[in-house]
Amino acid sequence: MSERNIAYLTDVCLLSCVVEKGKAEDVVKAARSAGAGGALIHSVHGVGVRERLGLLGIAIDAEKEVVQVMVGSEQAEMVANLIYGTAGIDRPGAGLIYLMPLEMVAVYLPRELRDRLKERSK
Amino acid sequence: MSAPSGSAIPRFETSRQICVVLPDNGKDRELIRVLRDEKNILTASTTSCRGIGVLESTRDSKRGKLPPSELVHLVEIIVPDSEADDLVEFICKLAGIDQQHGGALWMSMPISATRYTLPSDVPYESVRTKTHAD
Repeated sequence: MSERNIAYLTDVCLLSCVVEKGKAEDVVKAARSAGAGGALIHSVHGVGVRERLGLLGIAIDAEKEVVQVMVGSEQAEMVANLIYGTAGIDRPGAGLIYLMPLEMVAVYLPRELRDRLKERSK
Repeated sequence: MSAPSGSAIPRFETSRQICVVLPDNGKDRELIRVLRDEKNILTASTTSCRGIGVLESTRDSKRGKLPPSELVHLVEIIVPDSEADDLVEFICKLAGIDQQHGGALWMSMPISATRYTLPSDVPYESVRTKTHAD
């Protein structure tokens, strides 16, 4: 296992964020500015505040986007707070964020980076 | 909330959820097929989503633009706790997670999961198609 370019990480959280369609990029930008790396974006159909507004509900798009970002456990709350403030989730009905602990993450690690980490750990 | 009369309350077992992000090269379907045929795992699904890589950078990043996203597939698998670690190794090898642009894998622990089985007297679609052709 050690000869392969793979890293097994622990103390990682999965931050999921449900937002209105078209807002996913704002969330990713906020997450990246806080130091988070990659992101996954799904298109989903949401229910909730739209159904409570009767005819006025047609003004709210049922199409939502879910953004998932992996962040270190230590940073997780800070990244969530930043997204909450900058992506407009602090408005009622605009979306939600939830954090889930991950037991393990396996990702590709370039050889140079792996060597550098090995040297640092000596 | 009470269970409907006549139905037994299912006994849930400790499980793990394994999620694999794979590039759009058909590996997701191959993984699901191999899990079904070789590992007898039926609790797997794949969905398409947009992915932005960790190592992707953009020349416009200073102007607040994101790197271009690409089509990726998210495979979600629920497995019994006892098989999870071996399966992670198997999937990493099969899916090429250890290669650049090979994707990523993570494992989490659901509180509970039901067992999923298929009716034993229904053949796979490919077998049925062959029977019809005959």
